[in-house]
Amino acid sequence: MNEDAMKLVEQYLERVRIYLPFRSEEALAEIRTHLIEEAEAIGAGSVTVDSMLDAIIRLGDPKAVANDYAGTGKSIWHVPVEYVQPLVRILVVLVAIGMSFILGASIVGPSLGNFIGETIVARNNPANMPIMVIVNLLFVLTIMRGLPSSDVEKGPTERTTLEKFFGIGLERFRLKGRREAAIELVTGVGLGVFLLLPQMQGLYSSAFKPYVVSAAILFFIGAVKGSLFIVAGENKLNLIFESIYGGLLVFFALVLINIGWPLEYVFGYQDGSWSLIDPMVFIAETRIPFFSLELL
Amino acid sequence: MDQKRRKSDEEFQRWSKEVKRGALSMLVLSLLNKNSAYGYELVKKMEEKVSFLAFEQGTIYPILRRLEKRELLSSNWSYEDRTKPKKYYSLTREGERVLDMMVRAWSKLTNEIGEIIEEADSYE
Repeated sequence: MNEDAMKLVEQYLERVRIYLPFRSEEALAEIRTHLIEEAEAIGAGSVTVDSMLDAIIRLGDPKAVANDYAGTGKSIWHVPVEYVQPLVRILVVLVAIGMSFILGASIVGPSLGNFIGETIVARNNPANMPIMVIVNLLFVLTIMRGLPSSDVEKGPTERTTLEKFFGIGLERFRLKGRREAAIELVTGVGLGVFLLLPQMQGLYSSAFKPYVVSAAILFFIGAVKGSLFIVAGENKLNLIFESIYGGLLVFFALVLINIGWPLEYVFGYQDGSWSLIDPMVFIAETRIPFFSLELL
Repeated sequence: MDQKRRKSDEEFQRWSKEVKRGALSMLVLSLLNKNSAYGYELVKKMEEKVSFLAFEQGTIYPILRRLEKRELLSSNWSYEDRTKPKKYYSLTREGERVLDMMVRAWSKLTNEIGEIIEEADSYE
């Protein structure tokens, strides 16, 4: 059987699988057999890429096929009823994580800050985070509504923009590649050095200054992690290292969220030379209308 | 004129969709009455025999699944060809009884509808 044609079948089935409940292997096997036989019939006994594409197009859109197979066909606001409950569960978990982070940022963050740098006071209005979460959710929903229009020209075996964005479809769990690890090494070293550059020191806010070295160290640890993956590939030790590093990043984020915007100045080109500009003064002087969520 | 034609087409499509919905399950049961068959085989048989019910191939599988769930069909997997495992469906006793009732009701319905249409034609 033509390998490229079979690859098309697997791509198509992978897209159907996304929208099917777990343990739908029987349904997928039935669809696979259907596609192979239909492609054979179209290709007069042989399966070719063209005959397989025709067979796939005849069977229809993967979402519709999966929904016909597993669903009742009913939907609530474009979401098949079968998916509403799991989606609500995911939403509840996300909200719970968000709330924990807010709590952590306002209680644990300042104490950790005292430990790493200097005394800081929680500067966040407790309402800021939920407002930002809601605003971002609105952005996401707007994008999700708009994205399907970019999928009009795509064939049934190609992943939709949303599927690609969320990394669902063709790529199942896979090991971290050396290229990915190399990118971590380069960005870790690059960002760490960038933060420590003497030219950058004058830009930081007084609240952020005590944490610059810690932030740079974290970037360097990230680079070390990347190099470990390059040298030894994915193994248990490296994964433990990665988990601890992830935890450190979360703790550092809890601190950083309390110290506000890290830059007091930015470089600006004025009258033929570079100088430091205070963005807030610049905005006030030029009367640029500026909207901050803190005003809400 | 085009708009009127389009509206008539839409009306007809809506009506035929409703007719197909009921007819497809009965057809599937009828085709499986004496011989068992697997999904693709059924799709092909239906494409050959019934022109009015032009349907999307994927619609047959959910019907099979629903009928199996309602215990009107039973199924068995055949792994004779490992690359193409086939799920063979056949009628259960309950399926036979329901099909019998459906066929009788369908014949009565088509007869009565035929008579009404004939009567209406004779008035014209």
